[in-house]
Amino acid sequence: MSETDAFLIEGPRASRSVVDNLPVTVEALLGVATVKVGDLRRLSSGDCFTLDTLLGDPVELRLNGVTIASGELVTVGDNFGIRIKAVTQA
Amino acid sequence: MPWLPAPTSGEQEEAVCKIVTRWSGTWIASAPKLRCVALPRSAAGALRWHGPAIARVGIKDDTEVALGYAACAGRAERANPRDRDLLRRIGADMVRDLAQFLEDAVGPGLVARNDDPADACFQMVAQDDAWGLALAVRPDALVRLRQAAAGRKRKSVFGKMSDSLIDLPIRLGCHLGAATLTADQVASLSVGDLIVLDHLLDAALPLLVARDRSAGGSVQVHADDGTIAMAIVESPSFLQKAS
Repeated sequence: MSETDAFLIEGPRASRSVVDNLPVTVEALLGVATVKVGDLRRLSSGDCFTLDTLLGDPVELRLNGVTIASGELVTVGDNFGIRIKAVTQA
Repeated sequence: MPWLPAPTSGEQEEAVCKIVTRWSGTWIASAPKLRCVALPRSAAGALRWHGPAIARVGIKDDTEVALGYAACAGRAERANPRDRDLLRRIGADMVRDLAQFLEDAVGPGLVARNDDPADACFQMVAQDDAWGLALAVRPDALVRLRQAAAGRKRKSVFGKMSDSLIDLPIRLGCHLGAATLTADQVASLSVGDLIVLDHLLDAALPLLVARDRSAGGSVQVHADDGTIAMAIVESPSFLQKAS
């Protein structure tokens, strides 16, 4: 029996499990560099900016545009990863 | 110098006609119904541009008076030299205004008064054929005219930007990637957890302008000497459109 079926059959008792298993997407942002609007206008391929963020500085993890945690940027195989260092209190 | 392709689509003539009809409505109380005739290449001769303008407008000297006469709704004596001179000046003003009207539609500095209508590719004529305007437009101007006629004119975000905004700071960043978790996993996130993101290390990452990735563009991230730098791979889409 799937969780949705369980919800339909068992009602609110199963709702917790359904909600808990809802997939959500979190995203990680890196930055920032501050530029002037006038410079943005001239932005072109090859331009390089040094970010205010240093290696090891916390990187934001966001859910629906809200920062929920921050962590250290790491590499996991060929991918970026975030090692959680702090969780934002709701 | 580029050679103009002969107009092939009635849609182009219609768009140009729509623009000029709007303009004539501001000048002529009972604006005539305009017809737009695409001149065949043979009639216009060699369609060749002699300058940077992408749209040109012109009128033959002998029809300038007729245009002025239409603006005055016939309340003048064309045989009277003084009236005739006045009508000619009104006609010339109207053509200048049409150039401005077209410029508003295709962009600043891109329209010129055409002193030699012989190289035009459109002929705008009033229903009674009393006056006609010659229009020469490049294909890229035609696209903008079609957009303006359809009410979908798009301007660069920087088009009307005042100088005071140029110095405003704006934050750039990049989107490192995303990961899909369950709500339960998010709720129980704790220090030390590792989240693997979907973007690869050597991939170009989406550029964030003011924390928003909808501007388009991508960057490559490099780490060097403890600092992180990002190099623009593809500039934001609004800059590509503006250029």
